[in-house]
Amino acid sequence: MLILSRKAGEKIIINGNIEITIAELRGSEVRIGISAPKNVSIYREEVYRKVQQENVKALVEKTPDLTKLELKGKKKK
Amino acid sequence: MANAVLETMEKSREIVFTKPVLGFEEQRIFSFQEYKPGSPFMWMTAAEDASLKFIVINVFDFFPGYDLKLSNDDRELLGYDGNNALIFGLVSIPEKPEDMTVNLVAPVVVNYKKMAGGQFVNLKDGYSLKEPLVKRGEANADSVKESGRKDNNKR
Repeated sequence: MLILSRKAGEKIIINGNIEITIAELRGSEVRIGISAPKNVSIYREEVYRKVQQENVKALVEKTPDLTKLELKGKKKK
Repeated sequence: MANAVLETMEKSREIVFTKPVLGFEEQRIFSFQEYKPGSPFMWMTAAEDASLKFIVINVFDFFPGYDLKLSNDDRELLGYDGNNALIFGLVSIPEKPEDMTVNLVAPVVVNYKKMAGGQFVNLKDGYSLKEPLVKRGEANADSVKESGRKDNNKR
């Protein structure tokens, strides 16, 4: 991993189009600003991980039989 | 009904994902097919790897009050105006299908006019990654296919 030292207000440029700004230092917390093209996905790691894990669980390996379930939110005819 | 949803998405049914399904970043085209005629479930399959497939539902079929809040960037990326999109939930089906849940935190949103989509994290708090889909304590035959959902598909 590349490790760089930066002061508050300083930036890092990635790939020419992603700009990371060290916005503020507050004790053990760092506030970071990121500008990137809209199609770049940016998530806090814990959010990314939990969604990713749920996606992996949702992968279907064997076609399930879904015809015998009483589902929620069903509308009356 | 799933059919109507798929008709809305027109024939090609291949959707380019401008934001990936997290964990499957290399797959950028997904196709949607019905699971069974009349079923609320649909398949969402990676165009380049048919072994990557998910069961999805149209979220409004089950949760008519679902509220999706996207960042401005995401709205622009998708051309989303709240009326031209379908919102799908990825369904996790464990060994006992009656324990199935749907991910309401990060739905797949499809702009069916642009045939563009992606998985987006809902900025609105309070939704579950594992929202149960099956009513507690019952697993009744033939209730799914006759579920008679209407009108919500085009939202």
